[in-house]
Amino acid sequence: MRNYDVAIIGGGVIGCASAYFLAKAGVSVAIIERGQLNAGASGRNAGSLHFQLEHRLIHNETHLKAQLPHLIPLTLAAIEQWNTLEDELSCDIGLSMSGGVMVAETSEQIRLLERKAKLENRYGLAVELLSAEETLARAPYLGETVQAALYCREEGHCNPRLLTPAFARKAEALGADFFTDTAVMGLDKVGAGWNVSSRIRPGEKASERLEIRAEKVLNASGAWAHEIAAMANIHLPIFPVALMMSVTEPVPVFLKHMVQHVGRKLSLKQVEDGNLLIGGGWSARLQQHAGKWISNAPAKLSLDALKSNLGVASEIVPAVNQLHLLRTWTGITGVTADQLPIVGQVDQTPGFYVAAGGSGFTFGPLYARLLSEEILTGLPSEALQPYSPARFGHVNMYMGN
Amino acid sequence: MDAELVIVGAGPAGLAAAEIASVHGLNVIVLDEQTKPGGQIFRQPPEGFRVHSWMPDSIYREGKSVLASASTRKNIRWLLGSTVLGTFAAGSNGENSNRIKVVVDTGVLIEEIQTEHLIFATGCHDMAAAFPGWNLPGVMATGGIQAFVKSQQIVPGERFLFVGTHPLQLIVADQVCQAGGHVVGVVFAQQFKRMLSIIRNPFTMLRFSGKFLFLAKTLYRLRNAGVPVSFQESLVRANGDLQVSSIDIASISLDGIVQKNESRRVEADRLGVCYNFLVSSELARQSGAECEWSSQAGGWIVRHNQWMQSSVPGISVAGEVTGVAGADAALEEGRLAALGVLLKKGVLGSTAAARLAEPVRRRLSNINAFAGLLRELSYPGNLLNQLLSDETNICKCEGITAGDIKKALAENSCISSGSAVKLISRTGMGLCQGRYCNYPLTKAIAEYREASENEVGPFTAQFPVKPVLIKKITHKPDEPA
Ligand SMILES: Cc1cc2nc3c(=O)[nH]c(=O)nc-3n(C[C@H](O)[C@H](O)[C@H](O)COP(=O)(O)OP(=O)(O)OC[C@H]3O[C@@H](n4cnc5c(N)ncnc54)[C@H](O)[C@@H]3O)c2cc1C
Ligand SMILES: Cc1cc2nc3c(=O)[nH]c(=O)nc-3n(C[C@H](O)[C@H](O)[C@H](O)COP(=O)(O)OP(=O)(O)OC[C@H]3O[C@@H](n4cnc5c(N)ncnc54)[C@H](O)[C@@H]3O)c2cc1C
Repeated sequence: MRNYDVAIIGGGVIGCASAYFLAKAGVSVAIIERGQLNAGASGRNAGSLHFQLEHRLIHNETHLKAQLPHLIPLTLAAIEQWNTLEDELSCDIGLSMSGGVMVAETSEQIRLLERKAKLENRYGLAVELLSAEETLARAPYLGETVQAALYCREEGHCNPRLLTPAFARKAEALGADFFTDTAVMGLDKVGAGWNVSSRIRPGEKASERLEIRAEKVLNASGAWAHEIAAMANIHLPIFPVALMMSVTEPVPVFLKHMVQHVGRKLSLKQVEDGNLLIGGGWSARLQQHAGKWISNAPAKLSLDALKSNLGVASEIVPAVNQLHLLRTWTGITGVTADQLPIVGQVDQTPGFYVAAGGSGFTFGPLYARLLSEEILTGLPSEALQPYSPARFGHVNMYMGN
Repeated sequence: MDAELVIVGAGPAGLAAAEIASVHGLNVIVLDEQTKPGGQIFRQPPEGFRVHSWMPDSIYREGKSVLASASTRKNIRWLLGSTVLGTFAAGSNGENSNRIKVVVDTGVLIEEIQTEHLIFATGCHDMAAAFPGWNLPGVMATGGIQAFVKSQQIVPGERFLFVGTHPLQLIVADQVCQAGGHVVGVVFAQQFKRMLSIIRNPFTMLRFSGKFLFLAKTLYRLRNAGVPVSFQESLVRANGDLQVSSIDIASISLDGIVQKNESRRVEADRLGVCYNFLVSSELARQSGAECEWSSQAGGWIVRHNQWMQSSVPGISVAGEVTGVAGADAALEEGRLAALGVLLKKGVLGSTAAARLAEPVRRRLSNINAFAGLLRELSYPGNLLNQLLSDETNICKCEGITAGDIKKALAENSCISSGSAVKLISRTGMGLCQGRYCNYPLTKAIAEYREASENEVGPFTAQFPVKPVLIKKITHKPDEPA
């Protein structure tokens, strides 16, 4: 049995960033990851820094109004954190914050942008509505169907290949212990702490398990957070969603913004190596067997979704059509019914924390910082209040006694 | 479009499979990205450039007859100049469908072909050894030089030097000579004694006399033509400004160390390099077929059962993708794979299939015994590691050096899989999709982490396995192309 203050389950951006913040505060941490570090959603996402409210958050305006007062302060905190992150991690993470445009093609979409702009500006996120001409002047690579765009100066992208490993290296240097290719199989609340039992290799004997004793457990297992929660007798209403990404051959820089669409699923950016990354939330297919998702299997690409995704991309940025598609891939991310993340301690199981869901690449470092403070002080974070697991308390989340 | 059987690759393996399947009445589609059938070894001259006896030696006879016979069959549809980009499960739910959708780049458009049976006979490609100067124009894979000579019968360049471990060097040097080229040397890393010791075994000699005779004749012809053939030597670097102009060659000590400090210089403007071949298993891997590592047989070879079926239902493999073993083995494996499909479809009963397979298996086991010897003989072992310096690119496309890889591994202590190293370093993210660098990278990680290559694992192969113009994908059927 090894002893730690905190056991973190999951080696994605949330797990590794939390390990860093906790280790920096002098806490002993173990990270347990069933595969390789950064092999989950954190190393497979589009790398967009979404500061404007995204397509998926704004189709329901009532919902939007209720969330804005909470979301925007957090967004501002995230922007502040991103501004200093490269220094904090003292390495290149492929960060570019040279602005983002969310485009509209119809008058209805323009009206949506107008309302969105008003609300965002009112709560303190500076966005600028550009006319068709202004849009083209600022983003000449856009196609002629674009009628308007909402511009956010701080938006941009960061390289998912680099961010999580950078946190992991820092955490390791500060003494965090990493256990990779090690899958958590069981959680046991014993006294004031937790016994975490993990499998080091498939088909092993019970005596070969990694046994960890920790005061607190942080469930940072992303799309699989419900599986880890179940080990603590909790129903966590988060479900796995498979998404796809595409990358083109590298070309000289011509597209400096992060491009999104207010009414269609699209995200597009050019990374520093010159490749275009194309995504936007198009689905891939989770593998299933006998009516159940296979938790550990990679999602399969859907050809129809690929055609649609590239179709939208090439209509909005016509140059895309002339590029070669180099590769596609899929990733699995955790989504909640209200599209918001679940971050905080589960009331019924003291010492069991969770951070999953949402635009976790943009906000993962922030959730990690705020939640680490909560874990250290034992005081709930004010800013994270709207994301508390308690909001799902009415579905009888807790099944223990 | 659909077909009862789709075969990817019109080399010996694919052709042999197509012949058998079509003889038994199946409608077959054969796809190849080349514009003519024949694969690597029977690479045909382009239309309008027909030459007499482009492949004169008897060793190619059987393959040629398969090619001729398959070409006349009415129920084989040839889709040449067509690159297969990947496969998908057809239907809305992959688990409930036994149909496979094959996505093809036909040059102008993307086409989808549906089938229940697929054979991947995608062959192998040259291993590009990385050493100082390997990026210089004029440094080529020996197989590449051969393809050039074979298909056009012209000689690219002036003075040829061949360096490596593979006997193919002898064949290509000979072909270059016969086409009128000037070969200044053929350099083998092996000891002549060791090569002989394998060949001298009287049993081996008897069993494979035809093949050894072929090689011996080739060697004799080369010597007669005044081409120096040396043993127990390795290249150290290729020199030149805009183009290779000379090559440094050094001897190898008895314990296998290249004596880099005592090199001799050979003037040449074409350097052919041939240490090994790598299997082209990316399509099979994209389709989900399980692979396993073989250093000698070409890297990530595809697992299969006795009927050449892969781990994915409906997908079989044949030829070099199952491990590099040459054209004869490819022919037999193609036949077996086709018999397996016929068995599965119920065209053949199990007794009939077993009866037809029996002589094929017998020949195959004989051929494989020879192929095993050849692989052992030509495997460069850790020689290539000695040629790498920290500044040498492992991944040409992205410019990632051996030193970069070491640094990534040193700094990120938890990262140990091929895909994870690819993700953090960009190795294998370029246009070639890791076709060349996956092999040396796998070995480098395994060595650094003291793990087995199977633990390191291959790069995940993604759709499309070869780059494709996006316009072809976004094109709507009702628009003109
Ligand atoms: C294709 C795609 C595009 C996206 N684009 C964006 C974007 O542009 N911007 C943005 O902000 N967000 C984006 N997201 C969302 C974002 O990637 C995720 O929200 C974020 O990476 C989540 O980080 P995480 O650390 O919670 O999860 P992950 O990175 O998935 O890490 C969870 C880890 O837990 C491990 N694990 C699971 N079960 C166990 C177990 N039993 N034992 C041990 N370990 C276990 C998993 O192996 C995994 O590595 C995208 C997601 C996808 C899939
Ligand atoms: C450059 C080179 C030279 C060689 N020279 C000799 C020689 O002289 N003597 C000898 O005995 N052996 C030689 N070999 C070995 C050779 O591989 C075998 O002899 C034999 O050709 C193998 O047959 P095969 O059917 O497995 O593969 P191949 O003959 O390689 O056929 C595979 C075919 O698949 C096609 N293909 C692959 N991927 C795709 C895709 N995604 N879409 C569409 N088509 C695809 C390729 O275009 C190719 O035509 C050589 C190999 C190479 C690479």
